[in-house]
Amino acid sequence: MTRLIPQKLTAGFAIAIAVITANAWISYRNFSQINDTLAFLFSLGLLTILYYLVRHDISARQQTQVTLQDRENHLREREERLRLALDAAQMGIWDWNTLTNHIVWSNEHERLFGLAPGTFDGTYATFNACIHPDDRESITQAVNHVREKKTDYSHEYRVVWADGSIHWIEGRGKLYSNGSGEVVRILGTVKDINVRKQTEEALQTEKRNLELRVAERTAELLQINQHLQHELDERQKIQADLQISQAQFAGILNIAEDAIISIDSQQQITLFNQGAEKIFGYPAQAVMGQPLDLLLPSRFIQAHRQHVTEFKGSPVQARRMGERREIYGRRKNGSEFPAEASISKLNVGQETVFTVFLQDITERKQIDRMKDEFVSVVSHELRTPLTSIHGSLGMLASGLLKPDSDQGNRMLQIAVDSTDRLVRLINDILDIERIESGRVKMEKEFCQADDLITEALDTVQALADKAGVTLSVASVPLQIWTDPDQIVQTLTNLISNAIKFSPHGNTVWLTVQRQPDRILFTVKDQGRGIPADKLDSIFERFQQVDSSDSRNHEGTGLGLAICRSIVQQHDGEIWVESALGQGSTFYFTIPL
Amino acid sequence: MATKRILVVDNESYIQEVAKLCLETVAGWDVLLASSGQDCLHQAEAEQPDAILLDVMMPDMDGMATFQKLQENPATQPIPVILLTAKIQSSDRRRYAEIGTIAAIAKPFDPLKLAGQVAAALGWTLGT
Repeated sequence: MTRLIPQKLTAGFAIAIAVITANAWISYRNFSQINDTLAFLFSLGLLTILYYLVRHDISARQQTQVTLQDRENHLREREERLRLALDAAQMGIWDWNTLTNHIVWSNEHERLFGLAPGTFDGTYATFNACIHPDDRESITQAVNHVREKKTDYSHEYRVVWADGSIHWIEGRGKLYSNGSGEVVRILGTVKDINVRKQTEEALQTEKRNLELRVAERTAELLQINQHLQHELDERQKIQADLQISQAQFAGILNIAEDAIISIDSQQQITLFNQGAEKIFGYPAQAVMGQPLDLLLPSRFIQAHRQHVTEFKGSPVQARRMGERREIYGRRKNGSEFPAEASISKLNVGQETVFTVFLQDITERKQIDRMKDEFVSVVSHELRTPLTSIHGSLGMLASGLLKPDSDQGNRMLQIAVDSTDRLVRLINDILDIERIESGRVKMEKEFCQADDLITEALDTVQALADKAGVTLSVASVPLQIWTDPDQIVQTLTNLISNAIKFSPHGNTVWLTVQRQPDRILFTVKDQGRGIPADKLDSIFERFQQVDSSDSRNHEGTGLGLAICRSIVQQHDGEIWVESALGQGSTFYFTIPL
Repeated sequence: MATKRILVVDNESYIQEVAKLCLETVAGWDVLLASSGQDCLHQAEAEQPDAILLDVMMPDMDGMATFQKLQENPATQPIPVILLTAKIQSSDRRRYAEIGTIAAIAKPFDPLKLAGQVAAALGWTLGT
């Protein structure tokens, strides 16, 4: 409001001049002296007012002039501050009059573009020439875009200095339009962003390197992962194999008849399988951690410890124990047994584990002994008739005896009898061996029991007649499923024995009975009977009551053993009831 | 010089007969016969033979037990014993020697050499 006052006063002053002039003219033409005086005073008043107004207007103008000067100074100060701030920020200023297409750059702008101060000619062409060729098109597009959209301008580009160096610049600008909306001016700043760009590039490079390293590391990790997965698969496979192996090992441990015992370096028991429990009579938990001495007869403990220690230091991994002497184990009940064993060692880290496989050979030794005895008996049984044959024939052949003399005839008789005995013996040995080995195939068929008895009686009737023994048969019609030849042989053997051991004039009874699930054959005599201590062994080989029976009764010592083998092959049973001097009754059964 | 008397012990009568005939015919010795260990002990003590030809495998009392009994009886202990046996493997021979028998002759024996084997073992000369 204050600024409008001088202009109003000037107008008022002109109006006042006009009014005064008009009044003076009117006064001069129309009034007398009085009126002239009043007019004059009125005019003088007006002039005073006018003077005051003029003075006041001049004063106001002067005041305005001062104010404008202050404001200009203030603006200059602000501009200077802005320039200093921009210089401090190393920012250049540009001002583009889009109507005249003239551009003004600040000195800092020129410096940022590699130009000396004051050398920019204000043309867009010069500006464009400073721009890196690759960025010119993008700047043109950016400028066109802001002019079209009336938006603020912001763009990053490179300038190429005269020395060829390249510098990154960030340009910003603001559009100014006239009243009709036409863009008349774009005012903006430029800023060196080289450091930022370099940092960005460095960061980008670092990022790429990082990505590369990440990719490499990822690839390595993938490879390691694959390797680990492979190892894991292998371990799982090994684990599975190990579990199978452990199961197999546990199975072997459990089913093994042999004792499997592991001991550590201190010879303390670490493994004791079921076979060992069975052989030694200890439960595993009772011996685990106990010294192996527990299982040895005390007289062998020291030597055994020494052997294990020597074995530990030897290069061999396994060896048979007791190669130089028999070894023995000791059961929980204190009894000893012969054993066969082997020992192996396994180094697990610093520890040596010994494993002993031990077999109780008590039974085997008994069998070996029985075999030896059997061979010895067979040898004796064969050599006995051979001795008689060899001796008698040798004497005859020597010429020392006349063949037709009594002695000569006796020797011949001995040779013949002994030869018969030898033949019977060999036949029986072969028979029993074939039956027991299963090489004699049973040829079963439906037979009438009567027919079998008749056939057996036909075979032994002559013997009975010679011995003066009567054969009495009591049977019922029965059909049985059996090998007829073998049953006839059994009956023949039993009836023959009964006849041989029956005194002249006695009777041998043969009966056949049907029982619920079997047929019972019985052969009874009134002979000398069998001593009680022989009843258990009478069916064994060469276990005659009297060995002279072989000679006196044309036996071989194998007849009852053959009977037993045949009956057992038929799943039947055979036994005897007898008392010395009261005769014997032999029984055997054949399942229906 | 008196004729040697040999006691032949065997449970097999045929072998007794053959051995007796061999020894009598070839060597001219007197032969006594026993068919069991127990019989042997009785005759040995009663007859005091110059030697005993003893079977090993006999029922009831075998040759080893019989020999042991002979050794235990001062009346029979000095009588030399020769075994006549089918059990004649090397292990058997060692055992026989260990217990103190003079010799062991294998069955079947050669009838013409039997007397010579007995005489050799006893240090006799045939014909005596």
